[in-house]
Amino acid sequence: MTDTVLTLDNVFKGFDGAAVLKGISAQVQSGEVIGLLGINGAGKTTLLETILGYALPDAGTVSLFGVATNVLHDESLKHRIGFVPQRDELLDQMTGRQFIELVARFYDHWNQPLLDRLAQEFDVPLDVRASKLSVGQRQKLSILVALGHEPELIFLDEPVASLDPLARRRFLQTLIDLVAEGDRTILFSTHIVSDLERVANRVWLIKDGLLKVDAALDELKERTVRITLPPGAAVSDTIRTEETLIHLRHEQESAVMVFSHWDAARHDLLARQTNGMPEPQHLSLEEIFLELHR
Amino acid sequence: MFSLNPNSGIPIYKQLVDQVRRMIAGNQLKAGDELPSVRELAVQHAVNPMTISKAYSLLEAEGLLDRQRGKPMTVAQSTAGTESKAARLKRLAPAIDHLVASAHQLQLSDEDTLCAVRRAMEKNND
Amino acid sequence: MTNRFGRTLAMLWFYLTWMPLMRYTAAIALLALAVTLLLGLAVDSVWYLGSMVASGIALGLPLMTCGAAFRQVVGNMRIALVPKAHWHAALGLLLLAAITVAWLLACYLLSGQLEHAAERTLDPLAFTLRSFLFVSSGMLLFQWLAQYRAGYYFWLVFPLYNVFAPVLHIDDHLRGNEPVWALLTVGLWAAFLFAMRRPARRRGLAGAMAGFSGGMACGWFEFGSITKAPGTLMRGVADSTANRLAYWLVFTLGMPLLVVALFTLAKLFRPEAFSVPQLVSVFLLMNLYMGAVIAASNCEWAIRTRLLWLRYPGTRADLWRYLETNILWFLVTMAVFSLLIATLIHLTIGFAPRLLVMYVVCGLILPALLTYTAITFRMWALPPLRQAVALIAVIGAVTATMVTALMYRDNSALLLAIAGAATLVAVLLRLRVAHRFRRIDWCAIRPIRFNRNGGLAGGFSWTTGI
Repeated sequence: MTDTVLTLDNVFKGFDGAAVLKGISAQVQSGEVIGLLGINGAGKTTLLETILGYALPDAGTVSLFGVATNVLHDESLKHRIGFVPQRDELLDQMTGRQFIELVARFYDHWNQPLLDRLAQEFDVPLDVRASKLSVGQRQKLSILVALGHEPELIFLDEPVASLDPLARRRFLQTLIDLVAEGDRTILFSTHIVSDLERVANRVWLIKDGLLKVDAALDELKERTVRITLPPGAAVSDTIRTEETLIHLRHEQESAVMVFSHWDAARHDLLARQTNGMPEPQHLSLEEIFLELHR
Repeated sequence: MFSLNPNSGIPIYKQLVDQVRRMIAGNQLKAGDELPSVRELAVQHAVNPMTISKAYSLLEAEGLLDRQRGKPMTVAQSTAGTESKAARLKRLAPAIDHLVASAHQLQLSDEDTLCAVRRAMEKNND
Repeated sequence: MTNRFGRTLAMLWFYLTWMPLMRYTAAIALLALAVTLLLGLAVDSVWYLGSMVASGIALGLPLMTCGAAFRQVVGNMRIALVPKAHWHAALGLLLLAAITVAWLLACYLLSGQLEHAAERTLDPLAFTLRSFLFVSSGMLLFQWLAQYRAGYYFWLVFPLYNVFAPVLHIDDHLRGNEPVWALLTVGLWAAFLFAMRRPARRRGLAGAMAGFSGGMACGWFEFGSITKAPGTLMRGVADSTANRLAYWLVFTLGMPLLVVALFTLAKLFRPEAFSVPQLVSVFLLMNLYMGAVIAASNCEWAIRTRLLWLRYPGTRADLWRYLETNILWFLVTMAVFSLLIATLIHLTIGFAPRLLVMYVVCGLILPALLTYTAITFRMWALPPLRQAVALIAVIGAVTATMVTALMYRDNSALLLAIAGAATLVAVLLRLRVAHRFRRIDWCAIRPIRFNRNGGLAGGFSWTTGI
């Protein structure tokens, strides 16, 4: 029932001699909503562009719907993919409606009533030239156009960067509607981590060219904990060399530790090492992100 | 009906599961009550429907909810109020631990703490 | 399920209507033809004139604009993901070429009604084929040339030439050169196909007006990228004087020499094609033209002064003097170069001195005229379309001037009159601009919108720096 819609196999990509992606391997099953996180310059856009064939990977393969495609020559696949680029790439001299009409013809399946409804919900005027729209309106239009052919696999690169909270909420609800209809896979990158927490069920975090995190969101939150020891409590070597310790720092006189895989066994281990250990604190996704980058 | 906080350290599905359990145990949800559909709840709270679905499935597996074809999830008949005292006390345990730990941090004596608890209970009964 | 032909037609429609100017012009061309048909019933010569104008418009505009439209479509990243969009875009372009050629053929047949055109015996089929090669390769050529500002300037002349030169003269140039054009056409389309096989970001098609960003638009002093907001000025290496000088040399010397070299090469196939005086004339004309429009693009300085304002120690009067100094240096350098070239040509080839004198005079006056005209446009912040139209008018006037001077080379009085008028206009404009500079609200001066998907007007703005 759920099949693999996207496979990345050891993808390398560099520009001007500098490697951006240093061996990314992952699989995406249909129906997942994946949030792509990373600091600026980590390679989120590069990854998306490599997947879509805008850029050729230096090494490794990308497979979409089981077809190995490093450059998207297979036109039939294009019917099943939607992409919202970071720069909206609309034709400035055309109105939204004209652009939609131009693009709609090429797809076997196009849901214009859906677009009309969304245009109303998002409050995007379709009869105004793109050059005259505000940045937010352009971004909303950009999202709309990508959804018209109801693709199975949707990629979004910072789709809500310029949207106000109301627009963002509406966008999330649209995404959720899409997901609820079933069998749609979404991969989107964003800096607004709180949006991700709502909607994503899987998180990819790119750091130093690698996929440092590739885990279900719930699982990630459950197994990542932060522990603050009382002031003066010593940190033993066993703890220091514990492999799941992501980070250890001292704030004032307390030791703060962040573990990536927390379970009862480690709880006991730590309890034995220190006296009266405070409760492990579970972190929001944003905090996890920050801790991973300290 | 529910209050879900996506930004907390607790996964959303867990929050929902806990809230449903508490509401059933506290009789706010009675047997036969219908819960909102997955899609409805997902859109309302702007969260992934799979999260809601997961929570519902877990609750169904626990026997707290019933899934009937064509109808929304309903609270199962057998669970209403039949949880044993021990089980219910176990549910309260985290809150008690938290209370005790806070009191300890605030350097309050046991008697003071118990007095405060009693006062709160009296106020609640009014 | 839309039919496939509908998709090609949609692309074709896009090419014809994406630009408001095109829409109006198509209407105008049709109107011209209708008027011709009506008036021609009464006056014979109107047929010829009308069909000439109509054919000129029909040829010039698709060549100039549809290539750019095509490029916008195939270079657009979203459309890269639309299934088979590129093929239909290409088909649409070819279809447009076919329609243009059909129109040309109609005009030819119309003009063939006249006695003085009757002696031309043209095989319609050969004419059609030649024209098709020319138009389809021309459209592709232009879409690549449109990437480079200088190419844009060059092609601005083309539609003017089209309107004033009978369509059949163009065919004369094509006749006998069919293999070259065929090769060119096939080569260009092959290049397109090859580009489509590459990943979208590596096709060399990004944006309609890409290429030549930083350095060329900047003045002799280091201003930095115009697209940044005021206050975030970056002083870039690309703006260095050396870079700017190199660019200027390439386009005022390099390009004309290249064209002359190409024509000389053509002489190998058709020895009677271009005589040495003709080649020299071409060189001088192109040199003048390039220099003049580069001078126009220096109007960038007027805009950039607004960015420099926050950093410049001094009053507005000081800033104006700084600006003027640089403009004058540029103009003087150009004049000196013109003089040097003229002297060189005279000494080596012994070219007509009168023509050389005219060249030197133009070399001094025209850049000045265009610089101040362009600065005027910027200072009054005309919207891009109006600026484009105004620029076309000015460059048209410039071209007409030069052509007139060439044709009436023995009429010194006329030449003097034109030179005098141009100088007067330049001086007046300078005075106006100087006056406005001291009072202008900086926010009123509009920077160039680096509009990758912008219309032709946006493209004009960007390419001309106006």
